[in-house]
Amino acid sequence: MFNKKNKTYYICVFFFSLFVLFLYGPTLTIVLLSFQGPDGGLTFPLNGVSTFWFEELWRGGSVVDIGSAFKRSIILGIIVMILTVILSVAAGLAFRKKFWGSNVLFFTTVASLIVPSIVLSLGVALQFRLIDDLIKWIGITLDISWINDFFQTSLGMYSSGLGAQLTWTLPFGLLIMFAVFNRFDK
Amino acid sequence: MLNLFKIKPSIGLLSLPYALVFIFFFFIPLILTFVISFWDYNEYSIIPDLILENYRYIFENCFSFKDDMCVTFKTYLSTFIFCFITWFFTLIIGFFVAYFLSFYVNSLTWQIALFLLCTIPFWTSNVIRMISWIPLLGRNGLVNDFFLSTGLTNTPQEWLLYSGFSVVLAFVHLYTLFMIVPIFNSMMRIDKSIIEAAYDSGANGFQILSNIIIPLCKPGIVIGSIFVITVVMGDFITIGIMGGQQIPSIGKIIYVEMSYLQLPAAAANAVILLFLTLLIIWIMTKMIDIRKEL
Repeated sequence: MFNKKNKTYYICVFFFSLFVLFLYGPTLTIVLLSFQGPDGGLTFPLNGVSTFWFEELWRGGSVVDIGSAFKRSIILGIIVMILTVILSVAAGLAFRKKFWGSNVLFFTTVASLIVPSIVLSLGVALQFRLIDDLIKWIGITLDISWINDFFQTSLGMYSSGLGAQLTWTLPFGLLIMFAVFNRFDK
Repeated sequence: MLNLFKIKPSIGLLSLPYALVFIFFFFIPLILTFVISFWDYNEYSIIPDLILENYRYIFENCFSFKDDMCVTFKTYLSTFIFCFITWFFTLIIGFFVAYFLSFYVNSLTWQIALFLLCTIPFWTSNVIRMISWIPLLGRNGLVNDFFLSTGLTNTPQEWLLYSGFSVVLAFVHLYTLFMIVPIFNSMMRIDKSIIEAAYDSGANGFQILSNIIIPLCKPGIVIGSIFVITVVMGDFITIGIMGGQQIPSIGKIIYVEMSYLQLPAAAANAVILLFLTLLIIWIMTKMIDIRKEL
């Protein structure tokens, strides 16, 4: 049936190659264009080959401070990675046996993949706004000066940002752990 | 006497940190979104209340049917159309890629290698992958260069970029993997001897495809479809960038309302979006009994 001399086989190979080209093509053009000469823009043909734009980036000549942006992304990425590994390995171990609430937790995991990200982002933003209001209220009623003077918002990269990232990475972590633990002997 | 030391801590406790993240960053935010969608607001703050004004505002002029369709219906219609077209193309492409990988690639090494080849682009952010279409599709882009130099057209084609076409192209480019993975997974579970038996009994390739492979892949197809549809329904970045900020989307409306601090209005929109998304998923899961198929 799935003979390699079959005509369908060659059609499939051709189709798959097209798909790979479709996947990588645009990215490759971007890579090529990044070696554009100083006068060129985002268009072909190349106006000479240079590393001018990389040097420009390195000097920090662009609008965005790319160095600190990278640093922020990498730090957040590493934190999310560590937390995802630890939490999902632990949860994966727990799921090897049925426990109280295991069904609910499983459906929550699936549901968090289904809820549109903008809905969840809004929810997290609302939550932290209410937390802000609460903290400010506590600061005023109990007259805690550092809250009244310095507190602005609890929204931030390592609070709401980190949590919102985790709701997206943890389900994948857990589902992968399911696949891993399924191979173990019970 | 109750000996506290005899109560063994359940291994289920290991899932507690995981569960806490979901309680704090999933359950509570969703409940708050629902509650706040009934609140009032002014320029500075949100005010606890129980009003339907936010919902009424969304559907203002929607049920008079006098003039044009209202903004909300138009936006949802355009989102549904994007959903459908994207779903259609990702399904076709994803199915055949999975089909090729699972039935025509025999060695496991090659299967893993080719599968990775499809996955690697997903290691970068979707914004980067989106933006890489711009030099290809723009007025002076590669595609237009090609059209002009071969004489296919005399003027640069404007519909290539910042249009519905480029939005769908980007969606298909970004999310076909979401179809490939579950369908591939279903296909790998198909017992090859069933296919051989059908072949030996005289079934042709098309019959095997329609009577064996597609029915057995249904769970994978449904899971992939759910992923693609939810991602497209809630999207605002892809439609924003590839549509040149000209095409409306629900995600964009919510985002704009958030940035103007009209949070209850955004919450009401989010509730409707979530409801419609879940409705579509519910209908899709009715088409197959997922639990029976698993």
